Amino acid sequence: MKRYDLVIIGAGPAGLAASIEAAKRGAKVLIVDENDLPGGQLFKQIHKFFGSHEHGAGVRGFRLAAQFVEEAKALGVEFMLSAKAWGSFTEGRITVTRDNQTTVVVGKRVLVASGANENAFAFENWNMTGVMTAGAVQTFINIHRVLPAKRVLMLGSGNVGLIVSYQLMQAGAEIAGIVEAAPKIGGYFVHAAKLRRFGVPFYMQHTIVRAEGEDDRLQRVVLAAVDERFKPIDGTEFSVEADAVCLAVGMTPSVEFARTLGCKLNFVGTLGGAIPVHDHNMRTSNPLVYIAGDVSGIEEASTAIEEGRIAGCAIAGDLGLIGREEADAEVAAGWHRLEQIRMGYHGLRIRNAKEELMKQLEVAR
Amino acid sequence: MASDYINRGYLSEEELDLIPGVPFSGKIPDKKCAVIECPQEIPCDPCQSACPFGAITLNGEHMTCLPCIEPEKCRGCGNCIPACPGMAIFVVDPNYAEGLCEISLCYEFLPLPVKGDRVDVTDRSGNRLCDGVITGVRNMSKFDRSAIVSVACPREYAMSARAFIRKEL
Repeated sequence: MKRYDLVIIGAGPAGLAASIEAAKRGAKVLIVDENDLPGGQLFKQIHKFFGSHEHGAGVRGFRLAAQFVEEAKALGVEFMLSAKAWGSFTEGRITVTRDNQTTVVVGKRVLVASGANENAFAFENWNMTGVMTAGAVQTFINIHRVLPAKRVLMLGSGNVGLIVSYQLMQAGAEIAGIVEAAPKIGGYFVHAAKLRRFGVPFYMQHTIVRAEGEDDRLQRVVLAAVDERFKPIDGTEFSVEADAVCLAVGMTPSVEFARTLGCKLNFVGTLGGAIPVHDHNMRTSNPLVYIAGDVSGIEEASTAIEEGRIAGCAIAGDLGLIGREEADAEVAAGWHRLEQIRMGYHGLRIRNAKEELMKQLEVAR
Repeated sequence: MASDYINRGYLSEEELDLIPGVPFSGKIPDKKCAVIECPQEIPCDPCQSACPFGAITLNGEHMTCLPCIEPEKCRGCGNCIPACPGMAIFVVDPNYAEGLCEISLCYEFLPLPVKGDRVDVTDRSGNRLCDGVITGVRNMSKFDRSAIVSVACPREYAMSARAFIRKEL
């Protein structure tokens, strides 16, 4: 039974950033991740990130992941990969299974940085070969360099839908169109503009009704206009040729392990679902458990990194590795950086939802 | 500003007028100059530090403020083009040659075109405007694979030509 100051569940941007901050301040850190490589979704992000210089703006996501992993390893952070954390027992014991062998690790504190799951969207024949999520498409084209289809219809105009459409074009596919039920494009204008100028059609206020094809191969997709309640309008159906449908319809925080650790959850629609309530130190209702990244509300890698940094510093303070004042100052600096990112229309919605969630914990305590 | 462009995914010529990064009120510039088509307050600021001449500044203290361009300071070097993660910066040279302008833009599709290639030039909505000729390809290592490709086309399209599609070989 190996003992650590901090056990982190998830080696994505939040977990890596937290590991670096905690290890820098003398913590013995273990990161557990079910994937074969650390980096989470960052390795699929071949585009340049937004933000400012201190958030790694203009750097491609996968390069950021490589930098983080190198820095964490240099600080002595240990990695347990291809490993699933599944159980929580008394005195901080966590069960982890790898290669059919289960071991117990103990953390004085636990950080859950388990990220999120992609949402699905059901339509007739949605189980046909060729219907896949945006994350799956990215795994195909950006990790394995395999083009899964020649002409792809994208469902969802959020940043993920827009960015993955562009990446599919870079990989050599054609985008049959972007289908969006809302009247407004969900993602950043500039991501939409870089598709528009190449003639990619946007089917606003439309939805997918049915996939059609032969021998389980997708050949056409039937679309329909939707009313203000997103219901298909009779008589507006038409079909678009495509050999794949990519679903980019949002994500839901992966809160299973946080729940296992007894963290109190609350539903916040803006943040993507049930979220562990937490305070400004990213500490949950279980005082030994912290969270960071998408599990604390669906956002971007840049905010996951900042939340990870905040949690890493707060945990170092909590463990007495640094003074309370120093920890508070680091946490405040992290919040300042987060607030910089959460300015503007997109950020303010998140910021308000987060503040609401934090009030709930204060009430609960 | 009306936010019709968000519903549409591209800027109209009238909307260009209102964006602080677009010089000369969206009219054809009288000199070579960067045009920053960034109308939405998002957390991003690398363009500001990419300019070696201080021609780009945000119109406020926050990272989400919009970039402004000062045409008199801009020398059209194009350093800002690959620095913009949104690929929203174009350098427009209205006097490239008799009757021709040159648009330099960020291009990330392989294989890269080569000088002399003939292409179909499109506007912001993807409509074909005219024929164009590739006049230069810069792909320095510091751009990290965001090449700067320049394309020449009739001068009247200086403020509408924003992409090109390679002709089928």
